[in-house]
Formats: sequence, C-alpha cells, structure tokens
Amino acid sequence: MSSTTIRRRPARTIPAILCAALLLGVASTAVWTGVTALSGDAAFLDAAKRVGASSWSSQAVLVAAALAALAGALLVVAALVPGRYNAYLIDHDGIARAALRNAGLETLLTARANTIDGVDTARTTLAARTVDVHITTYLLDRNDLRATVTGILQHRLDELGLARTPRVSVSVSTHKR
Amino acid sequence: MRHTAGRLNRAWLIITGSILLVGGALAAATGLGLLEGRSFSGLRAPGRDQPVLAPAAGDQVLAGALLAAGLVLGILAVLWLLAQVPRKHGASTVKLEDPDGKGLTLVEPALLEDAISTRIEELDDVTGARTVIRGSSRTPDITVRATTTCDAAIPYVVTDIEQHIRHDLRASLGQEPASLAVEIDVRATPKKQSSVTVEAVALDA
Repeated sequence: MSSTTIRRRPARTIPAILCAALLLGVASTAVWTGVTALSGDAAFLDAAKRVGASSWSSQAVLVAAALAALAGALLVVAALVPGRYNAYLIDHDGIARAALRNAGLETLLTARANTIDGVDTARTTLAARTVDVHITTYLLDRNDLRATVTGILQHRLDELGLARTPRVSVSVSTHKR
Repeated sequence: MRHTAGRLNRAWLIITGSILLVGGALAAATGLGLLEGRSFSGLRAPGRDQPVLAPAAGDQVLAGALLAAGLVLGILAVLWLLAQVPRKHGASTVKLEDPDGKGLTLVEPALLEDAISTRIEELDDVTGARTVIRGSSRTPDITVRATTTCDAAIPYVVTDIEQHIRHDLRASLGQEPASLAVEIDVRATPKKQSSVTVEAVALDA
C-alpha cells in the first residue's frame, strides 16, 4: 500500500512550534547563565538562585505552578484530540484512492450557492457531519429560498460521490432595507 | 502531498504537557501544604515554607550543569522545530533496467512528475496539478493534487486522472502504479484557455 495517506488529521504544528520555541528560549537562557557564570560574571546565576530561594508557598511560585499545570493540560488535550480530517473520501471503483479537500468543498458549494437566484452572498463552513451554509438575500420569503438552496446544494453534494455525504444546513438572513 | 510531523508532534506534546501538568500540580500541592509530611518511595515532600531550590553544589558545578542541560534541551528544541518543515520524501532517482540486464537508464523523478502534471492539466475542468512520485520504477507510488473548477464533475475527473496516469506509466515505466492517491481541490477561478477552436458550423449559425 501507499506510504502516502490521502487525508490527514491536523499535525498540531502551531502548538508544537510554540512549545519548541519556548523550550529553545529556556535552553538559551540556561546556556547564557552557565557561560557567563563560568567566565566569572555570576550576575545571572545569582538572580536564578534568588528566584530559586523563594518558598513553595510564595504567591509567585503558586501562580507559576498553576500556569504550568494549565499549559500542560492544554498541550495534552491538543495532542490527544484527533481533530477533523482535511478531506472527504470519494467513492471510486478504480485503483485510485481519492479525496476532496475540505477547502475545495467549501469553495465549490459557495460558488454553487452564489449562482442561485435570490442569493446575494453565501458563506460555507464545514462542521463534523454537516455543511453549514449561510446566505444573505433581499427576498422576504426566506423559507422558500432556504428550501431551494438546501435542495440544490444537497443534490450537488450527492453528485460528488463522497463516501460519507454530509448534510446541508442552510441559514438565511435578509438584508435590512 | 508532503509529509508532516503529526505523530512526532503529538508524542512530544504529550511528554512535555505531562511533565508540565504533573510538575505544576505537585508544586501547587506542595505550596498549599497538601503534601506536608508525606513521603513517596523514600522521598519526603518538602515543607511549604522551604525554598524551591537549595543547591548544595558550588557555583562552578551549577553553571556547568545549567550549560549542559541548556545545550541538550536547545538541541532537542531545534530538532523539533526543523521537523515542522513539510517533507516531500519523493523518489531519489527512477532506475529503468534493460530486460536483458545490460543497460540502466536513470530518470529524474521531477521530469516524470512534471510530465504527469502537464498531462493532467490538459484535462477538461482541471486548472492545475502537482504530482509526487515515491517508491521505485517497479512499484511507483503516485500522489496527485488536481485543482478543478467549481462546475467540474468530480467523479469523472478522478476517473480521467486515473486512466491518464495508468496509461502514461505503462508507456513510460512499463508498470501500473502500485498505489495512486488523488487529492482534489477546487478553485473559483475558471480554466484559462490559450486558444479556442470554433467550428465553421457554429459560425454559420
């Protein structure tokens, strides 16, 4: 089988970069403190020792401990929550494995919605099992337009041959006159 | 298309997060006096009024330890940052052997990738394509990202791409793809044609 996955969950790049940059900052400070102390200037080391001399019950230590625990919990949650796939699998009978990217699906449905008579603007966002489409219109009969748009977009989705077709959910707002 | 460090990130986030979570919780519990007088595996919890760090070693030893720990941590952090760059992990060189075993042809994968991408871009409703070849000439592993127009019939586009790639690989490498992944993206911009052929029948009308 392929070494390439056709769709991926989030790689958690942003938390990883933040965490690695923070570790690099701590490491740089430690190296700088060590180097200056070994070369005879112990000002940074003395400052570090003063911080370390704080008691466990001091307010600064308690706040730092709470912040560290909170940051740790956030990092663990970020790592354990799988996140949404970046594409929808396409049912295909050939040898190819195919997928439609989420951003592409949003573009496609937004463009289709914009071609419907009565729709002024359209915005599409993907949720876990639904596609949320928000449209604005100058029409007063919003229910009729909602049903029309839902039908057309659901039909367009069915045409795509996705392995799991999401349900279209349309919300309509009327421009104020 | 390109490989990212998803598993590595999640593993290190769990390790770093667990250390921060447990360390922060223990420090807070110590500061609040919840661990007063308790001992774990022979280690007695410090009192809440004791200093956080009371180094017994001299300044030189402490500075050396800080330097060593900082260097190790810094190297790990830099390696983690470098791992964030998405990697192509493509084939280095495609080697085509003569059936008699007397000749060997080396093909740059980029040439094949460009050729496949160009052929796919010629398809109706496809506005752009990028290809990555992995594996070897006997087991080529092809990944294609094709950008289509909004009106494209996606299942037909996928079938067209598959047929073209199978045909082209049979012609160039003498092999079917060992695996083929097709990622479809959609752009609102229509396909640009550099030339249009108008039939005489249409002009008469």
